[in-house]
Amino acid sequence: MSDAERILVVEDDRSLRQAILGALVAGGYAADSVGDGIQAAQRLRAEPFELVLLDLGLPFVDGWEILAQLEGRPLPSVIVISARGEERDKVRALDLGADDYLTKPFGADELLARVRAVLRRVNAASTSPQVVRCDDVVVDLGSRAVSRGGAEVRLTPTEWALLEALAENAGTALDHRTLLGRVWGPEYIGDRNYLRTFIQRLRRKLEANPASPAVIQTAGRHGYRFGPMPEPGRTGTGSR
Amino acid sequence: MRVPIDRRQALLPVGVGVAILAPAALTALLVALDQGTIRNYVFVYLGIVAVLGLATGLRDAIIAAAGSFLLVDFFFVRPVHSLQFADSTDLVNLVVFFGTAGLVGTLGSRRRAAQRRAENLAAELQQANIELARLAETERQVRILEETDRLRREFLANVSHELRTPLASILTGATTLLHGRTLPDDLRGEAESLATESRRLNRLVSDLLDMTRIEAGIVEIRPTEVDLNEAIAASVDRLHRQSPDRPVAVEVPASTPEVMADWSRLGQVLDNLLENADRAAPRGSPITVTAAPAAGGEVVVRVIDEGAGVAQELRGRIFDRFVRGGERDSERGAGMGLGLPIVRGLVEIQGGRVWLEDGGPGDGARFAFSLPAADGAALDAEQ
Repeated sequence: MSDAERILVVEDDRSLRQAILGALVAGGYAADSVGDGIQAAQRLRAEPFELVLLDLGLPFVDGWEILAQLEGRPLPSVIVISARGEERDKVRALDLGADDYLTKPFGADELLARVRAVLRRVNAASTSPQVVRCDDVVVDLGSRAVSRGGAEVRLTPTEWALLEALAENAGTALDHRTLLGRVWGPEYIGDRNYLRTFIQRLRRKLEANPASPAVIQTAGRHGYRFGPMPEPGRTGTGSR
Repeated sequence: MRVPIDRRQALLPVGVGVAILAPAALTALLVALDQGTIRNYVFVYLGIVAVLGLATGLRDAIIAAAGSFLLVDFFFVRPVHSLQFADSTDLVNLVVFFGTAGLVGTLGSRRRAAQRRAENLAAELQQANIELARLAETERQVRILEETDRLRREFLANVSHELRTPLASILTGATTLLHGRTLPDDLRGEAESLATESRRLNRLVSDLLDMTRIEAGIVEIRPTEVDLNEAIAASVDRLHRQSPDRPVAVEVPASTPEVMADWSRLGQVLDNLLENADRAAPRGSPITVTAAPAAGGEVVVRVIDEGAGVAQELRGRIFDRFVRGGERDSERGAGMGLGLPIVRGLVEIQGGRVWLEDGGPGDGARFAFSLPAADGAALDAEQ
């Protein structure tokens, strides 16, 4: 864990805010908190945070607006903490840029596990010097950079982790469980909505036509693949 | 006044009869009175033609005009009692009369046709107004239903927030205390109880909210093609996080088709049945989950345990709310009797059925549910 990791807790219920802060501090993190959306927006504009724990029902400016303001920014990563447990709320939050969604109530163990998982993706080191191409999309696994048509594409840490898993295995289909387990962790292997939502997010950023994807393709019913399947006798998608 | 169409059709032979008889009757009357004053009564013949044109149409008016022409010529134009003319002026007068009668009849029939069109338009307008009023009423009812649904959802979201937020404070606080190395043993037990009970309370809140959503008909589902092997494996993974030592045997033949289901809600159904079986079965005994295609384009999933089974007196109402049975004492505590009603509600929303299969007390419980098999030609929902 890095000393520089800073977490902002945005929660209007004072007791819960204190309980979450207590859990984070006990877990060794540098955390601060605010109780409404205006303060949250001000703090997020003024200070660099690696992670935000964001309640959705906030006074003045609600959590959805904060999420919308953060959309497109690689950092901070966002874990939504909400009493709304309905699937459509989760999908909407993930689609708007959240990295994870934690339904209240939660124990300190679960909270810290989620925080660790997101920060692991934030701080992940490159695993391969490979450069992988598909159409006009270039994924530089060494420098963790992505471009499309020569222009830089900014990805959140979770989007990058998913793209990295696919690009490292370019031309090979990876099934849902493998991707969920590798990117989010073994406890997520049943959460297909996470994978589906993040695949859609990546496609919106990388595909010329997200409805007919060429870069991140659906492989059968149970998986995804970076680029087309390699032709027999040829080695995969363009790489260096 | 508008005359119904069938009544108009019934009037047709009457019109022809009047067209023939009315000039004849007038002629008989005039003959009986005074032949010399006929020219003063020609307008009465025109009146008959005009009335028939208005009332029954051009055909009857023409018949009446022709009849009048012949009758006047026969009885009143010299030489009388013959259809010949002694004076060419009489012929001209009668032709003018016939022409005038035809014109009056035509105008009358046109007016009648226009009146009919107007009546038809008025009828259509009235029908359209009735239809519009019906649509407006339907739309109003739809709006009321949508608003009611929205208020229900909002209410449930508020209830969820108000109940879960304090629970979160208790659970997060208690579990943070449990992480502290300095917590005295006597307080550690209390903190563990706090955490356990707040988790149980959260489960009860979730079940109550789900049951309310099911009964209110506001559960949202997004059916996609689901591989049962994948869904069952995910549910078994979740069970093993709570009961790592519980053996679970999964038997799903490779030929089993995918089902159309909402991934999350199917997961909830499987979780509830597996947890139910886990609570009911003796420690270490296996739970078996099978899936197989069935008649009628369905796939049937069975969750079988080796517990005490469901008592005979409970079998008929095991899927009713707040009915509890067949559970051994559990460290997680007994449920509130909402798990199986929620299973039934969620399965039925997805187009399936749920039932308890035969097996007496001591034979274990065999819960089964069906779901529609996915159409192989359907688009991949993941795309």
